[in-house]
Amino acid sequence: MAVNRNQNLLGKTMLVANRSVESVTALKPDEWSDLLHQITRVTAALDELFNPAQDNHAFLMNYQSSCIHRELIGTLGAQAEYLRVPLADGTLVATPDVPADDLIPGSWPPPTCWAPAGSAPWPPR
Amino acid sequence: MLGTGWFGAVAAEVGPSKTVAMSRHEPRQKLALEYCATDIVTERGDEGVARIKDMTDGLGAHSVIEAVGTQESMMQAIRSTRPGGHVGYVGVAHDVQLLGDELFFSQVHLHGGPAPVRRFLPQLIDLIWNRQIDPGKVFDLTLPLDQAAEAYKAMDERRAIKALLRP
Repeated sequence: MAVNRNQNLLGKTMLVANRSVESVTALKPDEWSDLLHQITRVTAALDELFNPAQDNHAFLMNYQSSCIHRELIGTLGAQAEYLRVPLADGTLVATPDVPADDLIPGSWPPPTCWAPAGSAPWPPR
Repeated sequence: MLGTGWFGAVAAEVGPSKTVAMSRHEPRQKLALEYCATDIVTERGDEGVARIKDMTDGLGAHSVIEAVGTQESMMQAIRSTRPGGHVGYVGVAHDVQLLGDELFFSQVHLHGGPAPVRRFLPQLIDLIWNRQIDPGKVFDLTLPLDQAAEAYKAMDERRAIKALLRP
């Protein structure tokens, strides 16, 4: 999804921004052209970020569940043994490894709980 | 917090000073206390609202999570919230109707819907992966996939808080 591409590129922007001047001026021609290529892509990504197309606006605003391309999982057979998850590249986050069996039950409830907590913030203690 | 099956897990991590679980169901109350709740209110409707007001100097709560989706629960949530406070609703609303004049004078923030969860995932994966939280405790019944109907029945009849289906 566009937003993931953007996030990836924005991460690279930070790397570029953190380079010292010496390390940039000492670049070999092919490294230099690679850097220019990166900057061009970053510029395009930034442009997309601040002038979002209608179809990724929901993603950028953290309303993925209202993306105009959304498909409701419940209508796809979420209690089947296998399920094709639409747009998984835009919304799923990989775990560091295959989770231990006893971690599986804990994986479902929290995000759904955090969302309304995020909608109803409370003042600091 | 109205509808405590899943929500006990939240405040343990992001806890305010007082967390009230509103539930009449004993296993859920126990779970809520285990996770984070400091108080339990068993009354519903106007009585439940009155209890919350009593506990908050007559003002109502800063933040209320509505996780049921009924008319009674939604009104209880809105009326339990202090002016300027927030209601986060994730209970799928069934035939809930809100009166404009009550909303007007309530001065509360309402926000909710199908939960967008992407932004919470990295932090939550980290917490679960490192076993700092154990939200899986809400599942007190495990059944094979082909007994999905029985799993729903058990939840409906309140024999289970949440049922987990294993393939």
